[in-house]
Amino acid sequence: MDNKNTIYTTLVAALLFFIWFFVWPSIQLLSDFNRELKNSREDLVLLETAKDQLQQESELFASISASDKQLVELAAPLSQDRTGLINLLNDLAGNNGLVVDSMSIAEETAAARRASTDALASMSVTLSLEGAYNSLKVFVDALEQSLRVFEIESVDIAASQDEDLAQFIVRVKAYYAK
Amino acid sequence: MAFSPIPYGRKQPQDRGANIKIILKEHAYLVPIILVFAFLVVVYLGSFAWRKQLERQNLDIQTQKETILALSNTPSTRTVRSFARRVQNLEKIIDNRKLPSVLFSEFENSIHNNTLVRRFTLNANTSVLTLDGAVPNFEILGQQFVIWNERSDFVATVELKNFAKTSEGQIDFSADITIKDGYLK
Repeated sequence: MDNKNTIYTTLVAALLFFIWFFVWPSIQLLSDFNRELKNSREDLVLLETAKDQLQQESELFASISASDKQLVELAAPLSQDRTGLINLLNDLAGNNGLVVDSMSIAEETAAARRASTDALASMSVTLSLEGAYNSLKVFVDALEQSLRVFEIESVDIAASQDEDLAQFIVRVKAYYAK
Repeated sequence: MAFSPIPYGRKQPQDRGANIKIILKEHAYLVPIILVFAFLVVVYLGSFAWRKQLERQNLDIQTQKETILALSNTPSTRTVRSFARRVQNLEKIIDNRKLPSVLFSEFENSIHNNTLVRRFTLNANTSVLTLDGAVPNFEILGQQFVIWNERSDFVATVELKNFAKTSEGQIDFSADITIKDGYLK
């Protein structure tokens, strides 16, 4: 009877030892592998989706004509193109009967630019103008229709001594590729 | 005493099957534990094969991921992505931007014949129009506010901030007009 008990106890101890030091670590390892594989599969699905999207975008990009690509360049150039911007605003004002008294450009802060995930950065342009109210209306309309995209942030109209003239301060946002 | 080197006499038949049966019978209590042990050994060995298979699958996926990543990092794809993001951003800006030009004619129509607007400040971001002006008397001021409050499509709320009678007898006032959501689109 003692002999039986000894054999039984030894076998149970060996079994527990085997479970604890071999089987359980092996199961843990498998579980880790499975988790890693699941994550990898999820990553792959995301990458596949991104790849499909990229493929569609590539096809779309190839189908866009050079003149349409040029329009995007005009709407938001690859660089700030401050000279072009100043000339354009000056022309828009002048062509619509307004005189530009001053113009100032303020860039987004570097921190704001870094924080934004957008592909475009912006500059805020403040124009101080003089002219007739009707000219301002046409100018604002022209800004909205311009191929270079402007977002009008504020319009300030102040009466002046001359009845036909007024002072205007127009603040617009212009965009460029980061 | 002499003895024969050749065995003699009747041999005892050895019943092997009976021996095993006896042994099994004697150690029958060990059968469950041995079965469990055998099962665990199979599981343990099987886990090696399974792990190998998982490693192979993982390697395949890593290779596919690297291929896709390499594909998405070529100069031409970078150009396409940059262009696509610019177009998407532009679309969002154009869709969301406010168009103050739509306000002018409606605002002109809302001005009483006897009201003089000295300053017009439109903040397109907040859709608030701040006005400084003058009217000949309180009656006209009241009429002007009735027009803005009740007969102007673009007005959400009007707030008269202050008014004061000047030495010339007219009333100077300032007001904030909040423009209706979506009107400047």
